[in-house]
Amino acid sequence: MFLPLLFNSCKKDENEAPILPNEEELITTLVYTLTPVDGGSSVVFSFQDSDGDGGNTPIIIEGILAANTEYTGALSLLNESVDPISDISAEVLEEGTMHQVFYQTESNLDMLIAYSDTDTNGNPIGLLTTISTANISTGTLTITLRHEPTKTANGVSAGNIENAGGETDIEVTFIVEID
Amino acid sequence: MKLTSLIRLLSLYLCFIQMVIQVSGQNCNITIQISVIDQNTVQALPLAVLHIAETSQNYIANESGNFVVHSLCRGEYHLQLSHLGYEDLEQTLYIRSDTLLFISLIYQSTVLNQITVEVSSNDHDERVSNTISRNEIAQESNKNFADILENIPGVQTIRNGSGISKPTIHGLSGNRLSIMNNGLPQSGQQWGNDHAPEIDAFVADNIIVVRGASSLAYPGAQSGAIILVEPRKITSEKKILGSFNFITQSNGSGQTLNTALEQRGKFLGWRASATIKLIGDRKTPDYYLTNTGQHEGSASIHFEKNLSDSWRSTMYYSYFQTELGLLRGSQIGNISDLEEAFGRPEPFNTSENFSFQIAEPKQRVKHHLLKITSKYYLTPTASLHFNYGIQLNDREEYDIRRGDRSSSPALSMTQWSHFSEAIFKKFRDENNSFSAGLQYWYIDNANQPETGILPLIPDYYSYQGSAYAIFQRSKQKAEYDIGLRYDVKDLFVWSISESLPREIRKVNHLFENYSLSGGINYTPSEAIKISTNIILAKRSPEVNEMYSFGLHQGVSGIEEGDPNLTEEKSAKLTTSFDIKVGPKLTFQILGYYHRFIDFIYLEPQEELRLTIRGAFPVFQYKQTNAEIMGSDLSLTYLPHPKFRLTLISSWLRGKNISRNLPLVFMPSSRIQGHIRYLFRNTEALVDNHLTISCRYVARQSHLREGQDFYPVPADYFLLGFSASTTMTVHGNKLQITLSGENILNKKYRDYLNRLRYFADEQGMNLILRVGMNFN
Repeated sequence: MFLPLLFNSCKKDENEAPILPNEEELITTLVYTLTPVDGGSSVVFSFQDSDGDGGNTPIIIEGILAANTEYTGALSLLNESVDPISDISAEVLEEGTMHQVFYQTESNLDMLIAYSDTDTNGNPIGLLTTISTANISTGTLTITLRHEPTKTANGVSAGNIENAGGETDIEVTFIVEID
Repeated sequence: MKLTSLIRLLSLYLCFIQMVIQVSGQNCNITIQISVIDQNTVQALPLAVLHIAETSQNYIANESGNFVVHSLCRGEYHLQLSHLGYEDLEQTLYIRSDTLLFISLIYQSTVLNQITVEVSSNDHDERVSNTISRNEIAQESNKNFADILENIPGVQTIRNGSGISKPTIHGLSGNRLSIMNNGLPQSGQQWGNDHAPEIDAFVADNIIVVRGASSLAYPGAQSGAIILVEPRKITSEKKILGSFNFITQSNGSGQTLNTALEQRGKFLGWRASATIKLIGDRKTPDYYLTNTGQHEGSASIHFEKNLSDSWRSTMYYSYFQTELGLLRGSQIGNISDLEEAFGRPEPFNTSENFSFQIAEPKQRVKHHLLKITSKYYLTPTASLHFNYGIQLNDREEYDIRRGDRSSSPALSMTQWSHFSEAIFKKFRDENNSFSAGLQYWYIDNANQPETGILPLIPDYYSYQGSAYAIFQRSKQKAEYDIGLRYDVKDLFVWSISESLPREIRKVNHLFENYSLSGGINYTPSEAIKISTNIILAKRSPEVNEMYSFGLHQGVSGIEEGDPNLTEEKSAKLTTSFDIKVGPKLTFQILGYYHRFIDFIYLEPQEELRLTIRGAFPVFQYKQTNAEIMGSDLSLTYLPHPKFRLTLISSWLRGKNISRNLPLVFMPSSRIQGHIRYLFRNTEALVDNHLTISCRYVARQSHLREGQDFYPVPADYFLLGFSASTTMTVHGNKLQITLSGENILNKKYRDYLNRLRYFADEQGMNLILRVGMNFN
C-alpha cells in the first residue's frame, strides 16, 4: 500500500497544464478567386471556419458572376488557426501528384470549369482553373479536395470525381449566381 | 451435500502420496485406483477431478472419493488434481504395475476465489461453461483475445476489421466491461470501439467471465461483466518443463509462435513465456483486405516464492506490443466518401497483391504490466493479501496525412496506472466465508502534442478509492452470497476550448458509486441447479463520454461529450437453470433483464454540422432509460461415448425506453454448435478427434430505418472443422491439429464489424497447429 505513494511522488506535476498541439495541418479557410480574363474586378467565394469543426459557425461569402465571361480561377487554402497563418495550397502544390481538386456544378448552372494546372505526371491538380460562364442561371458549385485519389481512374483527370477514391480533405458548396 | 459445499469452498492442496500396494501388471493393461481424502476429517472427497496429461483424460471422483483408471501403460505420468477451477495440482509418477494411491488433501483456507470459480464449476462436467481452458487458448492462440472468448455463451465480438476485436457481453462492451489481467484492471483506452485489449491470451491458463457477487471484488464496471485473465500457478515439478506452440494459417499467411518454460526451483518457482505473431493482409473470398496485417510480440516472466509456510509472494511482469493495419479503403474524410464506399464490389485502394507490410492507417500499441503480490496466512482460515500493480499503456494511431506528417501519429496517448489493494479473507467454517478489500487506483492519461491535432479526448487524471465486502454461506441445498461495494472517484480533466484562442481549463468531477449484489444457488437434486442473482450498480461517466470532441474516424460523425452527465444506474436480474437429463444430456438456460436509468449512449442529432469537409451528422452523448433482455442457451449431448454435441445460442433485445427505439450495435441472435467424434486410440496416436463446427448469425432485424448509414448485413452461416491427434515423441507429448474456418468460403458481412460499410469478412482460413509439451 505504500508503494503507490512512492511511485506517485515521482510522477509529473499535476498542476502543470498539458501542451497544446500545434494544429499545423488544419485547413480552416478556402478562398476561390475568379478574375475576368478581359479585366475587371475579381469575384471571391470563400469559406472560413478559423476554429475548426466546433466552436463558431463558418463564415461563407458568395459572389455573383457575369454571364458569357471568361475567368481564371485560383484556389487558396489557409490555416488561420495558427500564427502566422500558413498556406496549405503551397503544401498541396508541392505534393501535386497526391492531390486533386474537383469542381462539380449543378446541371442548371450554365458554366464550365476546366483545369489549367498539372502535376509532375501531367495530371491536373486543380488549384488553377479557367471558367467560362454562359446564360443567366443559378446553381451550386461543390469544391472537393481529395487526398490520394486514383488520378488514372476513368474520367478522373477530366474532373469526374466518381472513380477518384481517396480521402476528402475539403468539401465546400457555394451557391453561384450568373447575372 | 454438505460435503460438496465444503469441497467447493476449499482449495485443495496436495500433501503427500502414499504408494500402498503393488500388484503385478502387464504393459498397457495397468489399472490405478486413487482415493482422495481430506487430511483433517479423513472423509472421502467426491467430485475432485483428475487429469492425466499423457492420456488427456479427465476423471471425476465417485461418491467414495475414488478414481479408477484402466489401460495405462508402464511409464511416467503427470497427474493433475483440480477442483471446480482451482489451481491445478501436479505430480509426476512412474507407474510400473497396478497401483493403489491415497492422496490426502489439506483443508487450506486460501482465497475467496472459490466464488469466482463457482461460475465455472461446470467446467469438468462436460457442460459448456464460462471458462476458456488452457488447451482451448493454446489451440486458438493465433486469434485475438476477444475472438477466443466467443466460445462462452453470451459473449460476442465487436470488430474493426480482422485484427482488432473486443468482447461484448450481454450487449455491453467498452466502458461497461472490465478485464482483469492477472488481477489488475487492464488499463488502456477501453472507450474506443477500435481499441482491442492489449493482452496475449497465451499467458492465461483460464479466461473466466464472472457474474454474481464475486464481481464486486473488482474495480471497474459492475453493471456489465468482468473478464478474468488468470495465469496458472507455477508447476510443482523440480525439473524444467516447457511448451511450444506453432500455428500457421493460410489466410493472411500468418505465423504464431508461443513458447513457455517453467520450473519449481529450490529458491523460487519461475516461468517465462513469449509470443510472436506475424500476419499479413487477410483475404475475403474475392479480394485482399489491403493493409490488414498484424505484427505482435509479447513476453512475460513470473516468479513465485514462499517466504515461509504462511507467507507467499509472486512477481509478474509482461510486455505486449502490437502493430495493426487498418483497411486502407476504410480511411474516409467525410460523409460523401462513406456513401461512395457503400456497395462497391471491392474497397478503394485494394491491392492485387498480398503483403505483410503495414502502412497508414495503422495503430501501434505498447503495454507494460508489473505486479507484485503477497499473501499472508494469519491463521489456517484467515489470510491477508497485498497486491500492487503498475501499467504503462502507450497508444499511437497513424493516418494518411498531408506532407511528411503520416509518420507522426494522429493520436498519441500515454496512460500510467497504479493499482493497489489489501484484501482480508476468512472462512468461519466450511459453510461461511467472508472477504473484504480496500483498493486504490490512480490513472494519468496524457496526450502527446507531437500529433499536431487537437486530441479526441483531453488529458486527465483520476484517483479512485474503493471498499468491498462479500459474504458467502451455504446451507443444505442452497448457497447464498451477498456483496457490497463503494467507490469514490476524483477526476481532473484538462478541457480545451472549442473556439480560438484555445484555452485550457482544469475541471474537477467527484463521483460516488455504490454496488450491491445478492444471489442464491439452489440445488434441489443432482439433476438441477437453479441460480438467481440481482446486481444493482452505479457507473460514473467516463472521460470520453463527457469530453470527447471531434470527428470519429471510420464512421463519419462528429462525437460530442457532455460534461454534465450523471452516473448511470442499473439493475440486472439473471436466472439460470442447469439441468442434467440423465448421463447423456445436460443443458443450461440463462435469462436476464437489465434495466438502466440514465443510460449513456450516443444519440444522432437532427442537425448536420457544416465544416470545411462538408456537412456531418453529429452524435452527442445523452442519457436515457434503457433495457436489455436476453437469454443464452447451452447444451451438451453425448449420444454415444464417441460422439459429443455442443450447442450455444444467444438472443437479446436492447431498447431505448424514453425514445421507444431499439439500441444500436447490439448483437443479433446466433447459434453455434459442434459435433466431435472421438477415434479409438492406437499405440502411436491418442486423443484423436474430428470436430465439425457451424455458426449461424441472424440478421439484426429490429433496427428502424435510418438508425444506420447503410442497410444491416444479411444473416450468414459458416462451417468449420478441426482434426487433432496426439503422439509421444521421445517422451514428449506432441499434438497436431488441422482446422479450417469458413471452409465454404462464404462471402458475408457482420453487423458488429465496424468495417461492414467497406469490405467483406475473411474468407476461408486453414490452420495447422503443432503443440508440444516437453521436459
